[in-house]
Amino acid sequence: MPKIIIPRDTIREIKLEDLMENVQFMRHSRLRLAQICAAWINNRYELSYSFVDESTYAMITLRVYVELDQEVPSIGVFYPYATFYENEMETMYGVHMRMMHMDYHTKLYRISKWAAMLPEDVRQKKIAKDKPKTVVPGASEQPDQEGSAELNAIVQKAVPLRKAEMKAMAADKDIPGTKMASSVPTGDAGAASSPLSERAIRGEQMNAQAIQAPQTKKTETADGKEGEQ
Amino acid sequence: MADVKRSPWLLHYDAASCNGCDIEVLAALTPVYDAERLGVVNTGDPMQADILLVTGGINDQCAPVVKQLYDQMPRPKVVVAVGVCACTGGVFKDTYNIHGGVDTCIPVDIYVPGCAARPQAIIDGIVKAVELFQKRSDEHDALVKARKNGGSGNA
Amino acid sequence: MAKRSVIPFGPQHPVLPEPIHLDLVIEDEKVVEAVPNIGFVHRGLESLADKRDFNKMVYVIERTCGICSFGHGLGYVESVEHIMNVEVPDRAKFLRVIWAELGRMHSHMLWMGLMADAFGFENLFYACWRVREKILDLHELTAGGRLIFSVNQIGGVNKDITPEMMQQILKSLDEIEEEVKPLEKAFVNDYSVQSRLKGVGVLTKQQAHDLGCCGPFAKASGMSFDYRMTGYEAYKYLDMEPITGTNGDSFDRCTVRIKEVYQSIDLIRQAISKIPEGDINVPVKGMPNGEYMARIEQPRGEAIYYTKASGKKYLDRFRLRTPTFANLAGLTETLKGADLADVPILILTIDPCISCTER
Repeated sequence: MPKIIIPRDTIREIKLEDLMENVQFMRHSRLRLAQICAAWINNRYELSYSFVDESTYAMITLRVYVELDQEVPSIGVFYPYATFYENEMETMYGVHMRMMHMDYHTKLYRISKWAAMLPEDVRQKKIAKDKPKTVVPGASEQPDQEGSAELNAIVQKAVPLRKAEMKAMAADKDIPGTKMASSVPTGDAGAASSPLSERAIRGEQMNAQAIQAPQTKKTETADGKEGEQ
Repeated sequence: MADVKRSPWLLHYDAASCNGCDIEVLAALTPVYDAERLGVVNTGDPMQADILLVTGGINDQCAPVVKQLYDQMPRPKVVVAVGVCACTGGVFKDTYNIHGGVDTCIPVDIYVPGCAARPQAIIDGIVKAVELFQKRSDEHDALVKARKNGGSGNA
Repeated sequence: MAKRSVIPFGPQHPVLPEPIHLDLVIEDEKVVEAVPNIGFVHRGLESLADKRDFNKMVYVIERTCGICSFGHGLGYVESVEHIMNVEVPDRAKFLRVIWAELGRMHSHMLWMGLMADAFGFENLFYACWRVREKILDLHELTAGGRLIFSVNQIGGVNKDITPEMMQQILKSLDEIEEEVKPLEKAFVNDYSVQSRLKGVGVLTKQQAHDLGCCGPFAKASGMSFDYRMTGYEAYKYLDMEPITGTNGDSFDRCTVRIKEVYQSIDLIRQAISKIPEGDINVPVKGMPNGEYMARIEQPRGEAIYYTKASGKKYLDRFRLRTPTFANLAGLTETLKGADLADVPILILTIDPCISCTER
């Protein structure tokens, strides 16, 4: 008879505060992240993080219960490829994820209904609350909120800066005032000049291009000089 | 099919499809069920294509892509919807993301049902598309000629 | 200073049959970073779990992907059977193994044809697909459909394979093996193929583990991980070892898949010689209550089927994690440092099944 390996699967329930520690332990024991799954059962989210052991084929699942508005930290520090699963959870179930290193801003799948897998009344409640995405946890100012005029100014200036960069690249000379040459930000925030404007630029690219485009077109057509600052 | 004058080129695009009908479309163009003996060639360039084969339903993200492909193709053109998902939406009609068949987005001429549509049925659809293309091509030629003759009278 | 530009790749591309969009950041003709943008095939079929009861859900799950269709039905049915504590008869297990291995063979031949087409070998593309037609004839003989045939049900299968059909299967397998050998030689021993594939897109064993890759993509880097070793269905009565490669480049990924075709032929022969008599399904009563994660080995890797039910006719949650979703991170890693002309080849070496990924 050929040798077969019988896997032992377990499900462990943990609290949201202990999530990062447990995941660090999994990473330290060289387990592979298999999937992250979200479900809406009994009026709360149930997140399942599954890890697989390569030698014994065992699967260990961490189960976390999260309320509708709670924010979940990303485990991308330990497992970089978890970002796809987390973006999918945010797109389809509306789970608020924090500090993902590749953030699609709920547009991993560009569908018109955000959080479509929730039941309809819960979904309306979630949209009505309209919780803004915290860029830096605990910071006093967040972009796109009232009272954050400075940040809004930086965000506005980011778009014409990109055009100046592109013009400079076409003429093949140094871009004035910045050290970075690329207009596409890299994943880690370490290489950027300022983390907030990086996220703002990425958010513009991925999410709000349609909203920004008429504005830039307006500045171009209204006054040819206004576009280049 | 006795007097086929031109050999139309085919463009195949997969909208939200499960791949079953796509693989059968490719199988219809390979040796055992050879559709290339009718003169159709599978191309990847929409500006060189005459017949558009679409498989799968239409969702939010691929509706503009299908529309752009249809606009890029020069007239006269024929659109064939292959598979029941492209005709009406199929098994996935009740989901939140599927609008329906291809005719929610672009005008369709020929419907080929089946899940997955068999290569024999797809070849039948291609034959009908080639005949329809002949008819439209002749009408197009007549229109161009009439416009040229009428237009040469004016300045 | 080096110039960087962003080139959009897809969703309509002559080489890839499925829509995937990649933003490639290029610096002097070499790819520096790739950002995938998926969602063109997203149908949201997991939301149908509360509109179709758990018996009819099989038909929806099978249509997630047309190529790996039997495997999806098998995984779903396995997870529900585990929740309901149904013991499937042995003959049904062997029949499921035969269909699953036939599915693996046809998927790999399909992949080989597409790979040859990406190189410009159109003749080899046609030859591989002509061999594949023989496998699809076997599908049609035994189950009634070419790609999507609903044979799985909760409690077993609903069609039987008679002894005459088994003789026909064995005869066809001999012919298929004779025809695959020259195709393999033409592909693997060719100088231009080797020079385009050897040393391209290398992924070491440590990298493959850190990125969570699975299937032949990871086996080529040396990771010996195959769910058929856990002995689900009738694999515990069959004799097999996972096939691994040594270097982790694109050439090894090709040879691993071609060797798996021969391994599948061997497994089907073993299964046909050992299959017992008996029923092919058992009647199932009651509603499912509980949760379970079933894992099976699809042609592209490890697929996880998570089902949660609580005693009602409709499932609470069904989630399907397909192997290409796990290999996306590995794809973005192999694309770093590659030439722009190699990008379609590298995307094809992970054997992408985008409709599986986005369900």
